Amino acid sequence: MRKLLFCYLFGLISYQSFAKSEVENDGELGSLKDYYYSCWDFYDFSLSDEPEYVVEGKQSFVTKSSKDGSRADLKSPWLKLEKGKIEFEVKPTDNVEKSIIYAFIIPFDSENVKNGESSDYEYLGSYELSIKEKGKEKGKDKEKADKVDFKIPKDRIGEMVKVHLVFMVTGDDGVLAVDNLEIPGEYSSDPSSNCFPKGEKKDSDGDGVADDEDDYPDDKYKAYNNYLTPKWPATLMFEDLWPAKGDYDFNDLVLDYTINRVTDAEGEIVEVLIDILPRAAGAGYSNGFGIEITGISPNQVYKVEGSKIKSNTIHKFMNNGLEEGNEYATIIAFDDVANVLTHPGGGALGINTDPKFPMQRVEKMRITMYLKDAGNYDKDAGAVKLNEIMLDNFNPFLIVNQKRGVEIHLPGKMPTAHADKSLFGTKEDNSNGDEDAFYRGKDNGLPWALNVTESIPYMMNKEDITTGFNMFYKWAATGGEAYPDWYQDKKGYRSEKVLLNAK
Amino acid sequence: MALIIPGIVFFTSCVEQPLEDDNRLVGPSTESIEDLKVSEFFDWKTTNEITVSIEGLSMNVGVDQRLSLLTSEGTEIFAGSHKMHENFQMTFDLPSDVDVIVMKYGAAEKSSEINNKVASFNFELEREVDALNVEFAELSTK
Repeated sequence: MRKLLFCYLFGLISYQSFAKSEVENDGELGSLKDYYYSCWDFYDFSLSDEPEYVVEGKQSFVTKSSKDGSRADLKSPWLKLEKGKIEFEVKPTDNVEKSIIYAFIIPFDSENVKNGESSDYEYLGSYELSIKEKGKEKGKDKEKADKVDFKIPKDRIGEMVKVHLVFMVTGDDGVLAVDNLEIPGEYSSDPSSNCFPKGEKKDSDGDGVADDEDDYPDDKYKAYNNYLTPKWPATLMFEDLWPAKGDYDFNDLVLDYTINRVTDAEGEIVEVLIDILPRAAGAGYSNGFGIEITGISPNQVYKVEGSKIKSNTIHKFMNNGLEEGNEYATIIAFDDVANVLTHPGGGALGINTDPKFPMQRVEKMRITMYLKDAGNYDKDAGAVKLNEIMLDNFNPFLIVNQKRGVEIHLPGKMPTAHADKSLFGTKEDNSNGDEDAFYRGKDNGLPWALNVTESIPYMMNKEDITTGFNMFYKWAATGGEAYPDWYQDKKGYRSEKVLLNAK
Repeated sequence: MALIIPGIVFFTSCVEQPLEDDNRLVGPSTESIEDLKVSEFFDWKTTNEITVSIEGLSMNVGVDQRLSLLTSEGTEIFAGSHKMHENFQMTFDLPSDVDVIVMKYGAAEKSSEINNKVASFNFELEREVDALNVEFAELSTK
């Protein structure tokens, strides 16, 4: 079908072989607005689908004539001119008595910061329609359009220009239709930059992403950072007595985290950077911490680095560093909190949770999960798109006191394949096999873990969370309706005397 | 006098109290964790699921460059290459206080309020246009 807006034609011209581009406009988009936003300009033109006006297809551009003569203009976007002719078709109604079309070339002027148009235009000539002959054969030639062309001067080939056509039309209540405009050249306007010509952009690594838009301008395998935690960082807090009722101080493990999914030019995830800051452990247990990336097969992961695992670990690992035996990619970030936090000794109740003891140093660790290796990935497993690792796919969990079967997840999150299923539904746990029912309290619906979207202080030992975060109760009791910002540092929201903030 | 006193009482009772001063709402909580009962359907999330959609241009203009989506505070929530004529849709988990999304594309910047958990954009960008009916000298020769 000939009705294309603009296209790139490839073929043999004369005895030389070269690519020929063409900017076309056939009025089929539906509205002038669509053309305007694509950098075309019209003055006193409209689009019509009246069959008597349409030259070809469903619509044509039309302008009305007047007894004293009227004028309509059409101006192309910026384009790099190529050899050939500017061509289009026009069809006047019987009432049009005279019509002359003028063609101009407007060169680019970088000094004109308003629209880039030079005042030093070039006049290509004019074309007068053969109206008199049409009049003689009134009613016979109505369907036939005139083909008009203007030759492009050789010295303009390769230049950045606009083509400006002016239509002067005389006749009482007549209409001139215009269609199938073709200009040899490459469309070069950028609608995102006030329709100025597209600039040449430096791309040092050749990945197709310009240096000033590339978060990794010297790495062709990486292009963009995509943080999963928009307020940097977020806080995870655990109770570790599951399935028994806890003391709800949510400080048996406290850590901050950020997740950055690094994507390439194609929008596929190259690697996931998980920064973890273990902050406190108000527990007597030797707990571990893992993350399941729900939905991502272990085969899709090339390699995991950065975990802190002791030599006599209870876990078994695959060659790629993921834990063995899971349906989804599961990272054991650390298998014992002692690997990442140092107990102060002297009978302190936990690490960084007892105000009577000095705060222990905390240190950030980085886990890197590689999904692509130098652009390659497991073709059978498939590349991972950005929307395949969202917050819902982030399934962190505590491993209680070196017992691999005892996992504590966020409420409503699924356990891994290693979880001891016999524990579900026992003591205070309400897990009954329904997906959303896991890790919720039987009598009160309370969880054993919380994920807060920004970094917040945590509770001193044996102080339940409602005593430090005054709006937590109302938020939870109303199912999140009241005080969705309960964790923020607003007036009256916190009782600092029971809060700690190692970071 | 009998009319004035009830009037004063009435107007005094209608004075709006600032939220911070209303202990019933934001004062130190007296509620105990032991009394707390939570719906089994509560998701415990501190984020909302927000969908950002962008309507592409009707015409392929051959522009493919960085699309950035940010919160009004300037935190980037998405970055990727995007063709200007293609539609875009993605869902994000954002803090509940995020109510505006900003789109950056080339030199263009637009913002959209989140309504019904959706922020919508298009690439319809206004520009400075000169009047087209320029008086070319050649027009008067015929």
